[in-house]
Amino acid sequence: MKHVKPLNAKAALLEKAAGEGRAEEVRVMQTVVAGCATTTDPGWEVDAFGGTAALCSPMEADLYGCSDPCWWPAQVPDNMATYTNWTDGSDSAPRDWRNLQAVFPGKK
Amino acid sequence: MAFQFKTLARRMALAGTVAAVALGALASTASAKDYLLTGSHSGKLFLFDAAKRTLVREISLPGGTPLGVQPSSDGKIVYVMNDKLGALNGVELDTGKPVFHASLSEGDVRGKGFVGLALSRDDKELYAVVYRTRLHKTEYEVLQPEIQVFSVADGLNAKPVRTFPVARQTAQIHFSTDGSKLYAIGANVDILDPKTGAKQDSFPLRDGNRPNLSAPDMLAIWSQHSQTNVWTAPIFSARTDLPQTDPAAFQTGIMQLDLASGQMRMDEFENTSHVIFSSTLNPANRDEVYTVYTQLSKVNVRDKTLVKRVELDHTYYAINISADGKEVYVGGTMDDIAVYDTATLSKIGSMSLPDGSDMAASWMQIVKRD
Repeated sequence: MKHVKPLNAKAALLEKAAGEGRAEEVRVMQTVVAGCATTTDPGWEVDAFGGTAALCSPMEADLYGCSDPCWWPAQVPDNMATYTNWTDGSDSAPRDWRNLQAVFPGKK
Repeated sequence: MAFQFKTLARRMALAGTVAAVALGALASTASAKDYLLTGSHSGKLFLFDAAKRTLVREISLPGGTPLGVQPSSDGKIVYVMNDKLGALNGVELDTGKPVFHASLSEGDVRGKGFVGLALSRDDKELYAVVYRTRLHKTEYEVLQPEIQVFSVADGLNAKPVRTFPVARQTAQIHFSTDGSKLYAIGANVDILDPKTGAKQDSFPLRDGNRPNLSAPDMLAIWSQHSQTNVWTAPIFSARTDLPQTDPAAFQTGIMQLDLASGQMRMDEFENTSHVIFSSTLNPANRDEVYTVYTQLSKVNVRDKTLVKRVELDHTYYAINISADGKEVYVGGTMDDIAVYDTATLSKIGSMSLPDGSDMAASWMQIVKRD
């Protein structure tokens, strides 16, 4: 870790916990934590074996199962609280994925 | 408040549409058969006659896409966790009429549920695990998660009749068959008094100490124990006595929680080679567990062996099984439920959601009705 520096407060907390020997308190996917921005799964890019063969097939089969409960909020809009209409009218990800657009912060 | 009332009224109006594909009320008797109940991303519930592979009911839900789907024991009412996981709703299965609604938020405290949803064994109280955040002007304050208990008799404006704190990371909750215990499955399995929330005991998972095995990593999303009263889930553990380069360094197993006896067991059956999302016990042979993801697998938990594994047409999240143990159903993710013969693991049927919508992470439950 000495060559890696935390870029934000959350990363600093993680580094601090590791330094205090509390890393064992973290169990990725030891069931899950509900709510956006609290899950730490790596995402759709890599599977549990470091490859891609064990990702959901097709990827679209996994999309709404993950985005509905904000499982991987970094990769998709926060569908639970901020961008709740992101998938409106597109109820089949394999069929409708082209309709899913990037989102941008709205005016307050 | 006025806004909330209008919103609720609009939802109720939208939810009044029920497509009764087969006419006539279903009834529950001793000769009841299996129906498959699941939700969809189009905000609907679908009920299939499992043996006939036909759609029986299609119900538009107030609150949209459901995740947790919990039928009453007589199969007449269905409760769901939906509305962006911010509310509980209940509808009559025969008519689609909304009969229950409870928001999980109150004032400046936003409540979100996930997969912690259970109905008391007498069908009178609905329990939900709620993760709460107080929304300040410049910060979010994470509050203690709690179980909120609702009386289903309170109807469309239900408020919690009791709340009690629950361990963070609690996912599923399940009642013992006699209703006297509530199992809260999370970092460990806490056994709670459902009346007070008092912890009576705990099965260790994270805090366990199995020889040469790390704490298990478990996926506890889907509820599928109605045929056996045994809830099962895949577990993944590391061997602490082997180098990570050893093929046996990571082990896949099945956890069983017997809701009748209270016994819990974990059986590793293979070196980790495939992902598993959910599993179900065979009511006709309690040595057999079926698991699903992109493969369907049959596992003998007594012998701790993989019996057979077949590739599926695509990934499925959820799994359930017929009362006679002859057919296993895989669903979730996309718009089809596939039927497999448990003896051969050959595909013998399928059912499709008529609107082609994704089931996504919705539970796929068995409803017993005539």
